[in-house]
Parts: sequence; C-alpha cells; structure tokens
Amino acid sequence: MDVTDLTALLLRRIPVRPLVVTVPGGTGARLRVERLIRTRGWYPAASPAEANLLVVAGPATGEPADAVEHVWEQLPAPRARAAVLDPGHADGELAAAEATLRDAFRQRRPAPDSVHGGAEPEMAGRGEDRDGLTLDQLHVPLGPVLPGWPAGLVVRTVLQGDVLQEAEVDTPGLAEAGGRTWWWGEGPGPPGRRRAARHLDTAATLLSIAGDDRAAVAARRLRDGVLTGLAAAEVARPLHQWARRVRRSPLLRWSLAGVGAVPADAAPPPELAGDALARLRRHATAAEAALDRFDQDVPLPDWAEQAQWTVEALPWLLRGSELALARLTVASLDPDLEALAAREVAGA
Amino acid sequence: MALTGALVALALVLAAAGGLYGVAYLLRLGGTRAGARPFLSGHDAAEHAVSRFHVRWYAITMIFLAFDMEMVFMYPWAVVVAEQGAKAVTEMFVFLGILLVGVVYAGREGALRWT
Repeated sequence: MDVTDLTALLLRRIPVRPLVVTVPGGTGARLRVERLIRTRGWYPAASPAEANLLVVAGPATGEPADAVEHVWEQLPAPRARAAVLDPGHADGELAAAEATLRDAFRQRRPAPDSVHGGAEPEMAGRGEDRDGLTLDQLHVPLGPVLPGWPAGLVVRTVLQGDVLQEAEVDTPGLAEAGGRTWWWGEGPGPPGRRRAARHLDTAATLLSIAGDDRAAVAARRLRDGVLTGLAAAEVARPLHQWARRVRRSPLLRWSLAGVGAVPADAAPPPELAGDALARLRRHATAAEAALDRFDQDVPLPDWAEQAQWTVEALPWLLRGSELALARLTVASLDPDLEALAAREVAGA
Repeated sequence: MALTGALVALALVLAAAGGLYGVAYLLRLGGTRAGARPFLSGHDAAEHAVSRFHVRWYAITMIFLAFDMEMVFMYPWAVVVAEQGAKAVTEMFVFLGILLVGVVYAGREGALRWT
C-alpha cells in the first residue's frame, strides 16, 4: 500500500463536521438540512476552524453571499461545500458534498497560499466606557454567518472587554429573499403543525446556545417529527417529557434567568415579554398546547410583528450586556425576518 | 558514559519528532495556509487582535488572594496545630470564615461566571 492510499483511507474515515449557514429565504432548506445532518449522525460545527463542510441553506446573493465566500476561504482542507436551494434537493447535495470531501484527488487541488494579502488591520482605538476603564474599542459584527443566529440578521457591535457598548441592527439580503416565508406561508402541512414546530425550533436554538445540547437535540427531533407528519399521539409522550425537563432544569434557570429581560414599559408583544427563561418556558408550554390542534387550521401568531419589535428593540436591549448574554438574548427572541420581508412585500 | 546516554536520548527524541513531521508531510493534502484571519461571522477584522481586553482582574484577584492567603497561613498552622490544640483550630476556622466572605463577595461580583 503506498502513501497516497493512506491519505485517501484517512479521508474516507474523517467525521463530517458541517457548518450550516442560513440566508433569508432558506428556512425550509435549513430545516431539511438539519434533519439530514442529525439522521446521518454528523455533528454540527460552531466555527469554520472545526468545520469541513459548508452548507448554505437558501438563495445567497448580495451581502450574505460575500460573507459566505469569506467563511469558505477560512475553512481549512479537507473541505467541501453544498448549496441547498430547494429542500427536496438537500439529500443529493449533501451526498455530493460528502463525496467531494472524501475524494483525495479533488481535496489535493492546491488552495491559495495566503488567504489575505493586504496589510495588518490597525490597532484598536480607545474610548470612554461604562466602568471608566478606557479600554480598547473593537468593532465586532455578529451575523450573518453564525450558528444559532437568525437568518439575515447582522448586529454591528462596539465591544469593550466583553461588554457591548453599542449595537446597530442591519438586515442585509432581505429584499433578495423576495418575500418567501416558510413558517408563515409556503411551508408544507397544516398551520397547527408549523406553529408547534416553530416553537420547538426556537427552543432548540436557544438550548444549543445555552449549552444544553441534549435538550436541543431532543427538541429538533420533536420538531422534525411534527413536520414529517407523526401523529399527535406519537409525539405527545416525548414532547411532555422534554417540556417538563426544560421547565424544571435548575441549570437552565440559573443560566437564563434575567438574561435579555424586557421591561414591561417597552410594550413587547406578549410572546416576547419577560426574560430568556420565561420565553423558553413559554415556547415549551406553547408547543404542548399546540398538540391538540395539530392538523387544524389554527391562526398563526403575528411573527412579522414580533420580528419588527425585536429589530427595533435590539439596539437598546443589547447595550451594556456581555457578548455571551447577547447571543442568548437574540436566540430567545428569534426574529423571523422572512416574515418581516413578506409583510413588506405584501404591503408594498 | 552519561554523555553517551544523553546523546542516545537526544537522537531518539530527534528521530521521533522528525518521524512525526515526516508522517504529517506525507499525509497532508497541501501546504500550510498562512494569514488566515479570525472568524467574524463572515466579515473582515477591523482591528488588530492585540488589544487590551478586560478580564475583570479585580474579582479574579480576590479569588486568588483568598485561596493564596489560606495556603500561606495553613502550612505553618498545620505544623503547630497538634501542640496548640482547640484554640488554634478555632482561630483557623474564624480565619477561613473571613476568607469565605471574600469568596462569596467575589462570586457575587461575577468572578465565577463563565459567560
């Protein structure tokens, strides 16, 4: 056996670590991709450094497409990418990308030696801050390529230490999504199921950011069961078990209580009131309540209104919070920007 | 004699290190890529990575001092505690109680949070 074969042999055995990027209009593709990743036993990556497969869910154009290219340059070899536009093609795209990843000949193609030419970035400037320490100000954008982050949301922050001093919200690429919204309009199945699935989806994202991976995977499995048409009786037992565990967990209470608390005088939509813990518990309870009306034509919550409020509230809500708490806050609010774009298209 | 042993050990270490590099060279897919910038959600870094970052030194220092002082006084105390008897034990626990107040305070200030 020569050495070439040894590299190929190792490539056939490496675990696949996908980094999933969702762009506006890609919710349906993301849900399918997440389900396939779970059933194939792949473990999602949290950053390009630990990923070897870049999966783009949805039609990437404009600024989100630039961000995707940027991240692709940061992926070390061996690497492969898949673009999933249509949920129906997800399985084939992922299989093709995996084949590329495990093909020694294609992986040996030389990558550019230096990703960035150019000069080193400048040193950070200092500024006044809350604690009077005059620390360096770093401009750190959050999104659009960030696991567990709403599709199409960019928060441009000014950080001093790990405290967000300023936050500015931007929503690039929404216009290109063309008003397609999965949860609200074009998704398959009766609204009752989509409603329950969206509660589970938001809870799963928040749980994964909070570090409770087991509960997050359980929530995703339930969500996929709901969307693929499992009978309500079949879902009921695991759903109640999951909801009970999420509501009772002392660790979640400790890490989420008081995070992203919205004062009552900010007049939030009732679904978003309180702190991250209250929102998580409300999602668990709402998913259970939706169980009885799975296959009925229930009215869907006004997700566009919630997203609108969140986009307007995020700058003041995030100011003064720590970086990790900011990510938890955004995950707990989980604005559906596609619904927002759809409303604007419908209104125009 | 000792020199021969040291030289043999050096040769073995060099061979092992060289062997690992050699295996890595034969198995790798391409050259090392230089100049990769940090992951910033798909954006370019605006500032240099070398910058002052506040890690809440004061709170962490309090934790360090509490346990450091505890050790500094407990070593000599352990030598004489058998002779001094109950009085020394009582004094040490009063001292530990005072330090514990400091630890609780630092914990309240966020020194033990990992976020």
